[in-house]
Amino acid sequence: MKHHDDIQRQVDLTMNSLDGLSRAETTPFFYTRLTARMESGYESFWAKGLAFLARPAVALSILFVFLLINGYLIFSGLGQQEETIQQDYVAQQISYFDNNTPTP
Amino acid sequence: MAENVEKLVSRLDESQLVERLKKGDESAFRTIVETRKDLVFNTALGLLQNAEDAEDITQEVFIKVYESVHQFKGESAFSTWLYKIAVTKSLELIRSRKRKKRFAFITGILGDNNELRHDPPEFHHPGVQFDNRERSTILFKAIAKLPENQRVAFTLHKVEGIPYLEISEIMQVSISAVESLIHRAKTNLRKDLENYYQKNK
Repeated sequence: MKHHDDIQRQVDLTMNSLDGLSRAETTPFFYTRLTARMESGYESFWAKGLAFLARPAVALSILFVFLLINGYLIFSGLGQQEETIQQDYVAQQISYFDNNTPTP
Repeated sequence: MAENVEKLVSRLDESQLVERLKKGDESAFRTIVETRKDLVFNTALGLLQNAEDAEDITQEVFIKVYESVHQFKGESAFSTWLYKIAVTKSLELIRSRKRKKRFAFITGILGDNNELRHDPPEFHHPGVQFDNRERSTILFKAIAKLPENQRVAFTLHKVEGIPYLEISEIMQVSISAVESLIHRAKTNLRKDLENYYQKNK
């Protein structure tokens, strides 16, 4: 019981530890640094764009879409290639029979 | 009564400053920055618990003010608008840090990167009374574990001393919602601190 009361006392003291807190102040020459940042165009269009692209979710989404398109192109290309091979084979067969058909 | 008159006068001064800023008056911008920088910094510091990040966010808040002052319609106090931007910017940074923490294993594979702090050091608020320094560090650690809304409401009230009505305007929720958020924050903090003191008795 005494132990429990002691813990509650510690908790109360910690909960009240921000009482009488005074406002934190920025470091000197804040305005000078702010204007320097504004003039240097820190948050330029390209910087914002790159920061957006560097987000893990965005980067992974782009990678996923890229892989999806890549996969689609590979597989659709394979189908066409097979078709072309078949067509070539048939064409060769026809030309073979054309060439070897005895003339009456 | 005197306090109300003082508030009215400061509100009038504020609206004049904002009007001057809308016209591109640089001295008005400087006055706004010099008189409100600590308000923004202290808010960001309470939420981010890191002085460098808080200063960075304070700069971003004033850049945003400069760029979009024409969007300020004067429906709320100018300080409320500043608090709103400071909270939004701070939360954006906290969320981005959380995302980076989730991807910490990748950065770990790639090697040391000084930009990322996956485990931030203990935070000491410079405005805390000397006797409470150690306890406030424990409390700030517990505050950082709170859900976002509770963390914002509790920090604005405790660190900046903002009344519930203004917090409700900043967070765009009702006063009863703010009361509920702060009550739940206190309950969660007490639970967390009880666990802490039981482990570290």
